[in-house]
Amino acid sequence: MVQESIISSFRAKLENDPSKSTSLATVETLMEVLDRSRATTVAEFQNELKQVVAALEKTDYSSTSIRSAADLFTRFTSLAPAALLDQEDFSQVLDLYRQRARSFIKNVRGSRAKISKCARLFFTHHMNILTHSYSKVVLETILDAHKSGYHLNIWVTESQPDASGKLMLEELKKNGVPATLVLDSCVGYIMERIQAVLVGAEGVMETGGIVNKIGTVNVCVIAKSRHVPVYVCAETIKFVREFPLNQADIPKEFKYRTSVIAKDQLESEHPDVDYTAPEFLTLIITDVGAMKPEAVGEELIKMYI
Amino acid sequence: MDSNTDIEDLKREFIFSLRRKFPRDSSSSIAIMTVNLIRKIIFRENPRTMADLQRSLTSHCKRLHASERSELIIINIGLMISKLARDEVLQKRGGREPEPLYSLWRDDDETMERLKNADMKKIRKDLQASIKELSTEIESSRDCIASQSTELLFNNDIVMVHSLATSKTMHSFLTHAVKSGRKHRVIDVVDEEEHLETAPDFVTPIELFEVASRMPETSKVVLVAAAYFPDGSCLVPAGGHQIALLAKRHCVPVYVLAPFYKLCPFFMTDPASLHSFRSNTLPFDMSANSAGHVDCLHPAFDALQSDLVTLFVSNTSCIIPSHVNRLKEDYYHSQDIADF
Repeated sequence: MVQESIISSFRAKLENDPSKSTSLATVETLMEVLDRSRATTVAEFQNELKQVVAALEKTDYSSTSIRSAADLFTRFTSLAPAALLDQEDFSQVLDLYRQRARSFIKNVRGSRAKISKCARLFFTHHMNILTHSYSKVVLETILDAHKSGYHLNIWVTESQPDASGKLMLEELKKNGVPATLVLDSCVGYIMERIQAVLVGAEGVMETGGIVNKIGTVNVCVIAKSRHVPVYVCAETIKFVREFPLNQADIPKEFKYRTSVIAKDQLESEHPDVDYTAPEFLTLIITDVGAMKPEAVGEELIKMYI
Repeated sequence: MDSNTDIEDLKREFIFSLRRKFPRDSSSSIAIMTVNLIRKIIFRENPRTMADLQRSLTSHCKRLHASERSELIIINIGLMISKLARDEVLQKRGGREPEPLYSLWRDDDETMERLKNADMKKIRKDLQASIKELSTEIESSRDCIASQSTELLFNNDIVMVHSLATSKTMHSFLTHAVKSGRKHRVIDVVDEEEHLETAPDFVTPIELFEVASRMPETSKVVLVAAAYFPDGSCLVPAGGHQIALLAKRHCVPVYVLAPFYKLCPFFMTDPASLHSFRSNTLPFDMSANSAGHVDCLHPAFDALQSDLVTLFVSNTSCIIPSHVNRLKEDYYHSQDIADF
């Protein structure tokens, strides 16, 4: 079946290149679908995409990232002028889609570098930064700042249950950044010496809040109570049209891996992510610039209107 | 005459005129001076393509700003004119779809390509016209802000203001309210004792240390912004932070007068980087006596976080802090900001 090969190429992309984000792999996979597509109508093509996205969401990678990337990709590529759509020859429309998709992917590839440039403003020398879990964007931002001569002290939470903070610590140490591992329960203890909290996000919601590795909300609430600024580094491809009101309102597929949901014993499982409300975040640093959490909803509405 | 040296002379004269004036000129006249200077520069340099224009604008503004660090207005005006030129080119080209409103995903390469080779000759006249419009907008902004006073100040209000002596906008804001028959009281927080006597007759001058005791009876606080930023924070004359904190403590609304040319598209992460002090530090001989261990700082500005501000009174309307970001998009183009 075609879909099997697509899913395996998606997996291969992520396994071969550990620094690749789930979002980028998703859009690259969708690009392959677009390249192969022999659809003759818009509806047919969108149906194809929908099926692939549904299959991608069945993998164990973050559904939040897959959904946001797929939605934005579909929306951006399909913004074709009405005059073109009236034409007999659908291959011309597909060509336009391909052209737009390429520029989309180019933007996604460049977004981490843009974020890192944007975030530089917020660093000062000898700053103590607390980060939670492992985030590729945060890692690249910190390493870039370190390379350009900023002396930063990074404190990394262990981030159980998968101890992804240890991975972050290793990466930082490997590159010569002074870093310390702290317990998840130690965040309140450590916060008085921290000047900024820097976290990534699996998805940025329409509220301006973020869905991220479990424990993020603890860090952000403590930071807020001590007036420590919380900066979120997230590519715009992670903006999702979801409006969670509280933790219970996060979609189930965001909270648990697909394989866990399949077991159907959620009452004995721990959620993988939590939702941090916008009032606990200071700024969201994206590839289109730093913005207040309030601006996220506005951008999403303008995009999907 | 060589056009390049001519421009250098103009720029030097501009910087000198900024430095000569003490106390500082009103910000609207500085903004107009900047507009005129940039108009002259564009006129003399006569760039052939849009890319040339943008390059020269950026380099001139950067250098002017580097010599006067505290004048953020120079950058603002430069970027605004760059956006005006962009709009003109896209309008002239026409035919194609307008730029999308959203910034999440747009095809920047395509528009960039179109802009880069745009011929400046065709839009020159229109650009001059829109620059002129910009300076009229700056000129009229004080009246526009003043006319909104009737919507914000009511009878029996007790209004606490700051830096009335130095801000003409604040002065006209209050006098407009008085002229339209509002019966309110004004408490002016003054920094120096001599201002106690020179205050206009419709205000009660107090000193900064009295603010805490007078805040419970106050019903509104009005401050002036020196600059405000897309995240809704702003710079106000020093002392404003204490007033705003006390206002929050007593749930008194804080209005900040902020004409559009003071909207700075960048984030101010460290207000100390402006290095603006209202007076010199200790004289050398006094400093020598204390072996350099004593320093006397007199900063010009306080940074206000967005949660301390209720409303920004801009020349078009009143906006809440979280909408400043949207206002930014009216005046600046994201690509210009990124390139700067």
